[in-house]
Amino acid sequence: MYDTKKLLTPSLENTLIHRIDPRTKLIALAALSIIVVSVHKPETLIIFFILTMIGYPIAKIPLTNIKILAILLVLLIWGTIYSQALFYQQYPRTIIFTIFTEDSFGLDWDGLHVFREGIKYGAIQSIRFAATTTLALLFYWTTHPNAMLFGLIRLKVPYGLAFMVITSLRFIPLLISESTTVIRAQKLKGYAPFKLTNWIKTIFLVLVPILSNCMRRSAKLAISVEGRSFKPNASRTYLKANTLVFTPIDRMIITLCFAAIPILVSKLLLWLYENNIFYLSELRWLYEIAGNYI
Amino acid sequence: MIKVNNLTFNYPGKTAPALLNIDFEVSRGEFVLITGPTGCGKSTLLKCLNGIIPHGSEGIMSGNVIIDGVNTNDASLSVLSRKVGMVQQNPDDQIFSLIVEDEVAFGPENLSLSIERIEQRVALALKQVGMAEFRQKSVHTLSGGQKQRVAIAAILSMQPSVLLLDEPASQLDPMGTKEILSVITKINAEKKSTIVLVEHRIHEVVHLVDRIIIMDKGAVILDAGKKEAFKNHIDIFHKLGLRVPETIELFHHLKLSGVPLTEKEALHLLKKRLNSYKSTDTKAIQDKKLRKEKKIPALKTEDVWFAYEKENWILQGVNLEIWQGELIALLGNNGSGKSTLLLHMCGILKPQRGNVKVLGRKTRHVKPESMVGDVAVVFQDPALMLFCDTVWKEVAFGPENLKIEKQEIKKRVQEALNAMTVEDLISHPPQALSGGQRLRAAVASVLSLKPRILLLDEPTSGQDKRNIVNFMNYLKELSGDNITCVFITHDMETALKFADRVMVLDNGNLIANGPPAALFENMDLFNKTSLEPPQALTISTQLGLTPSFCVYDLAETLKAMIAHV
Repeated sequence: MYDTKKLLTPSLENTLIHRIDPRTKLIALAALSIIVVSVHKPETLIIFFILTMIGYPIAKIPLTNIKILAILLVLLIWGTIYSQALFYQQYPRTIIFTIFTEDSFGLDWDGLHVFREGIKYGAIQSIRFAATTTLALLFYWTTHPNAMLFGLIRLKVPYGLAFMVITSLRFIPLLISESTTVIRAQKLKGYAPFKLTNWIKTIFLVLVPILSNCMRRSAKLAISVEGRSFKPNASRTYLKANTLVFTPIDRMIITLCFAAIPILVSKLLLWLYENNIFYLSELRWLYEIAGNYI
Repeated sequence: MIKVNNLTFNYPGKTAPALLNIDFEVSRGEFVLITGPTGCGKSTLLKCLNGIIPHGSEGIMSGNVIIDGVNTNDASLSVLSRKVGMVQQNPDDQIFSLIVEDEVAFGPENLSLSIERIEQRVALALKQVGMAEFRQKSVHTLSGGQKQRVAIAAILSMQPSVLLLDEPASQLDPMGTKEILSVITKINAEKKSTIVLVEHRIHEVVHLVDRIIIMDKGAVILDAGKKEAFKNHIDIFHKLGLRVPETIELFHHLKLSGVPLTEKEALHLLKKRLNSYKSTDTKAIQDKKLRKEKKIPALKTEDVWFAYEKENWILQGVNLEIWQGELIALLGNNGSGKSTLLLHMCGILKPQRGNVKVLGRKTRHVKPESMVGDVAVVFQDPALMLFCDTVWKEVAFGPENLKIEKQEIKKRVQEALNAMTVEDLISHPPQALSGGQRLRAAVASVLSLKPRILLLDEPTSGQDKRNIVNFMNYLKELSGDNITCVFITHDMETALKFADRVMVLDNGNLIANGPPAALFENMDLFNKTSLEPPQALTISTQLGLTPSFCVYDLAETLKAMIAHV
């Protein structure tokens, strides 16, 4: 049994990761997303995945949070591999074993099989998701919401939009804790929320009270912010805004993030070559690197 | 400072006006209490005072509200926010920053003040609410009372001329309530702000205010100085089911002149009156007729230990036994382990050490679902227990899951609806009901399961006296039908008046367990837990009488004594 609110609230430690400028974190996350989509080599993807995990001990993330991350990753990896193994649609595909044959249930259908290529494709996809989830959670757990707000503003995101994003993040722990209460109430009324046949019904039964409470809460929050002179698009001052300064570490990380550009470009050139659209013999070395390592 | 002139307001789609021809004025530095039964229009009036109506709410408003010379119709919310600030009931609904300092700075930042001025205002506001040393703390580490003090500071940093407080202590435990009342007292003493307080718990705040405005059905039915209100209009309080301080109630029953608002005043007047009477003490206390002892156990905990985090024990060896048909009040500050204990009683949480037995069955290896029909729980926020389209479907939801025969379901639903007086609302969406109605619908939705044990987490919080009395009377009836009821409350008066037995938790330990009268044998308990002893008890003990926890019992004793003088 975990304290959901505590688990989903950023910590206020003063580690290297905590000190990274929120703008750097946002840029790094965007760069990683581009890299993992561009890279197809499982080995390279695994290296990126491991790199994202190194941040956890540095940031002194509590063990309970790491356990939650591990559960999430297991579910994510298993779910992606399992679904791709069963529903892989590309060719060639090799059946490893069959769950239902083509004439099962007296139907004329393709049956249900587990495909080798599906497992491989699912594994690659899952590492992509896992790497970005790991980094996003690391940044979420190590960034003060107000710092993230300033980060977004300094990245030229309109203040109203940035405020909305940060405020909605602030209420996620509350939503999760309320969902737990709703499910408890359902169980105590004899309803089985996690029974396979009840899943769709459960979603609605949870959403009704949660969304109703959200509406009530947002009305109160609106009174609270409007009563303090909040204007979404107006100019305002900040008590701490000037504290956002790029340190040498930030500059180093941002420089590394630029690595996303050559990775993306080289994969793009390889794709153009493989599809007979564009070829330059001088770039053979690049095609080789992109094909073998990225 | 505040001038309300012929104010009427209608919410869209409602025929009856929420506010009707309201007229009153409040002078600079005055402290006014607005009270009235649930749904009388108090909160709507506050929204008019801070400009949310007409600027941020739909509906038709007529008349004028003038705050510090500014008509709310003509000024924007931004301009009004410098004149008037409002603190709401629940601090969790209004605080959105992680750090105390950020929350308090939010308003001045919106006013585009310079960093130096923001700095000054934040420091001053935090000092005013006694939270200066918490400036860099995470809001999540604060208690309910501290969070509400931060919410007040966030308003004070706007330096408004008028401070509106909408039941600021209704969601707090006794300790939090004490903190907030002391902050309000301090702000009031400085006389810099005009304060308008909306509150049901008149008895706790009345000594602070200058004037009382009572509302009913959208109209002001009394606007008087506090002494004048109690001296000449006490019948209005009684008629509307509003809480009158016990000291006032006592003098009213004794037909004595004088309007004592505090125990000290009451004692002074009574001592003067009784100084010639040499008492050998009269048995003032008429112990509640203790129930015929029932020896069939409903709930039993044996040395129960529980922690959410390793070694951070929330329950520390709780031992208790509750008999069938008992009505139990569970008291204690937030974090004392009350809700955790309640979740053990319904099998949702399992003890890490010790055992919990529900109707003789150990919960350790039992799923909570399998206890449906034996135990039902009403959570603190009843809205989270309402998932269906209509009240009827909601009440039928439980029995339908149990696959009970249709005719029986219909019978149960009807009984539960009647019991909770929500039979007129069967086709209403439960989430669209008022707070009190939602609570009654949630209780009806578990009563239809015919539970033998009913557990309720703060069912009376935020309710007016009439609703509390009606609800508790119903629990009494259930208890008479041999249904065991355990309710968590911060309301000492309700616990004493209605419970057969009171249990007090402190830091996961059961530090008191007995009939209400026995609770007062240990006055240290009150200091330790911040629970406020009833005024009747303080007065009776100060007068050297047998401790009395009911104002009517004390009145009877004093009547006899006065007759001898």
